[in-house]
Amino acid sequence: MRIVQPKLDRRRFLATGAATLAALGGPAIAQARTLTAFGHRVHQTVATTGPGGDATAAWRAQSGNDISWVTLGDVNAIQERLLREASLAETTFDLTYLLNGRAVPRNLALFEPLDAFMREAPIEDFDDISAGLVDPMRVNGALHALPMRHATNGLVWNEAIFEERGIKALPTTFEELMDVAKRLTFVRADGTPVVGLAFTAVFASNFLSIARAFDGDFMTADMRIVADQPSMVKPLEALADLFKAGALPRNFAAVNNEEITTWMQQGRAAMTINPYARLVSYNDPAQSRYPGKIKAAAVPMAASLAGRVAYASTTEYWAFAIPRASKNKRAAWDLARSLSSRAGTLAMARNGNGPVRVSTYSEPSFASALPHAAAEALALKTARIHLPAFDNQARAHDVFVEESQAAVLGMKPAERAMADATRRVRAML
Amino acid sequence: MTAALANPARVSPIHVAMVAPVQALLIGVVFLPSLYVFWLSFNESSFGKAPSWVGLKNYVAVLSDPYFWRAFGNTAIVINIVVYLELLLGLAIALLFAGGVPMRRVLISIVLAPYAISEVAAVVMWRFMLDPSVGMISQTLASLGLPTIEWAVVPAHGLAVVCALSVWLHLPFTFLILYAARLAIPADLYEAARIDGATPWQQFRYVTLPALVPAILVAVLFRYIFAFRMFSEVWLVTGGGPARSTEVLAVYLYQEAFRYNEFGIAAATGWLMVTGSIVLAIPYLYVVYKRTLAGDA
Repeated sequence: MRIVQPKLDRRRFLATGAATLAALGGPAIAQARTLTAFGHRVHQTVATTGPGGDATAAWRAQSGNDISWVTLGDVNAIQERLLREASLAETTFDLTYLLNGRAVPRNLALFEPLDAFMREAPIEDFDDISAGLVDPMRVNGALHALPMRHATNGLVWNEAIFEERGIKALPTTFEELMDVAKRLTFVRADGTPVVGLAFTAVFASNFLSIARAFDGDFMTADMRIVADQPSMVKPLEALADLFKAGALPRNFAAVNNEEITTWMQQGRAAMTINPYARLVSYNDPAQSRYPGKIKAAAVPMAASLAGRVAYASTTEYWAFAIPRASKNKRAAWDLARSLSSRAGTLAMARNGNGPVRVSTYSEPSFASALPHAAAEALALKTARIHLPAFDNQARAHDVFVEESQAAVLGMKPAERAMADATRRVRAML
Repeated sequence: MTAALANPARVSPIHVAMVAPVQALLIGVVFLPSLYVFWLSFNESSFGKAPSWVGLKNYVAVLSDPYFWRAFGNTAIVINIVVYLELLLGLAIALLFAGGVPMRRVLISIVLAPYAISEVAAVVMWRFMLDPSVGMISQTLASLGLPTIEWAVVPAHGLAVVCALSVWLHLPFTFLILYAARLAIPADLYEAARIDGATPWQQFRYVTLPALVPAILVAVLFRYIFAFRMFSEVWLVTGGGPARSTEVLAVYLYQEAFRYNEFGIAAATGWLMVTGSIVLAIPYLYVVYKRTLAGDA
């Protein structure tokens, strides 16, 4: 009979030690895992760095888990990679950032419905998150993504240029605004041309920001196409008139957001349609010739509607989404839940995030550093997206933009352009 | 092994082994993906849904889309202007430099410089120069009493700017090929022509041009193929606007694939572009074959 002597080598020692530690150390150590978050570089920054501190710290301390960030700098590349990854049977991504423009039913179906998680571990004061942002994330009533960062558009104006032209205040009606835009178009003594109104013409939301002054829309939330109504045609006619008068840039169809930022900072444009959040860079003393002078407000309503209908801003936003194939869904939900709490939202807001909770704008630690907090909170409360979510949304968006550009540049009358847009988009539904 | 290398007609295993990595790379990153895209072009495919066979439906959809034909027309206009303008300019500069100019090395560096500039940087620079309000070119035109180039409003102006930018960016390619070919023409031929009393035009017509034809064909062929898939110049200058009026085929394909996520339609567009490139290339390839390979055999 052979006696086998137990032998304690280094490998057995380490294995036994690890097992003992796991058994004694409790679930926090045994189940600790690293979640992969995928999004834009700015998502990581606002979640972890800035005056608000590390918004993920509480969740990490409580769960014992950690986050591995995978970030890119280009929005389209992020969304393309995300949707490809979410289409796979397996993925390493756990918590991802989805842009509302890509949140169409076909894509939302790739992400885990969140209602069961909500019942099990609800989001703190969920109704505080703007309903206009939450509703488009539902498919057949099921919530698939959780809004976390918004950019709501307003009318941004340079007070100094207004004063330079002897205009005392922002107009109170849309008609006055169009008149003011013409008066703000001039050439300075040093030869610098100033344009009254400038905005990027590749986003439907910018055209709609103007049209909402007439309560106009391309489509309603219940999928009705209303682009051919006077409420959409009239504002386009007004813009065409501005272009003809030189109060819109000559390169209107090609001007991009980086150029608009430079124009606002250098005083080459008196007004623009852009998110409230851009006021920070427009007023940055290191880059702007008008620090503190650039302000934002809602676009004034048309005279016939002023005081009767509230202006609804257009908004774009990011939302947390958990891929169906994620292996850490519950942990990902807990992280999203923590970041979406009042404290998490406030911390991220102080780090530069656009908070989706209306109440965050009342927090003194945030609002005191944000002169436009009240105006943005008001805009967020009534904001709604530019088009309802449907699978051909991107194609419909481009049709509306194409026809709107054609109307503004005088390539066809606004009425015909919107009739054409209506016909073309109807065929996509 | 020495014997095998000495006899180029004989292919030994060592030859195969030496070219195998490149062949494997080509098969892996070009040939197999191309086959997949070909298969995809007969399917309806998007994120989150398995491809489903639709036969020729995608090709019918693309070929019946007026925006495809507008993009095709724009592509045809742009590439013909770009390729032949580059050829004329490249040839003229090559002949000028070969004929002898002061500070030739400096001038060659200047001609080649655009090739060292990224397309994105070049477009940003051109956009700024062409800014209708403050751009240097616009200001100069205005000071001369000439009208502004309305590249963001008038489609023809937009395409003209794209052509000018593309010629500026890619001229060095055509120039280098033609300049190298011109320098390779033996000086004896020109000396003989001069002794025979040939004028400069006759020297060009009967000595330079015939000797340059193979290089011209190669330059034109390559530039046709490259220009056919032109994307960044259009995308970054006009974005295909205003109102999609300056779109070219590569922009159309990009929109279908990466904006509308219609991968089947994008794949069909890609294969139509490949087919168009091949149709364009066949006459040039035939002439190149006749003049070079067939002649060598």
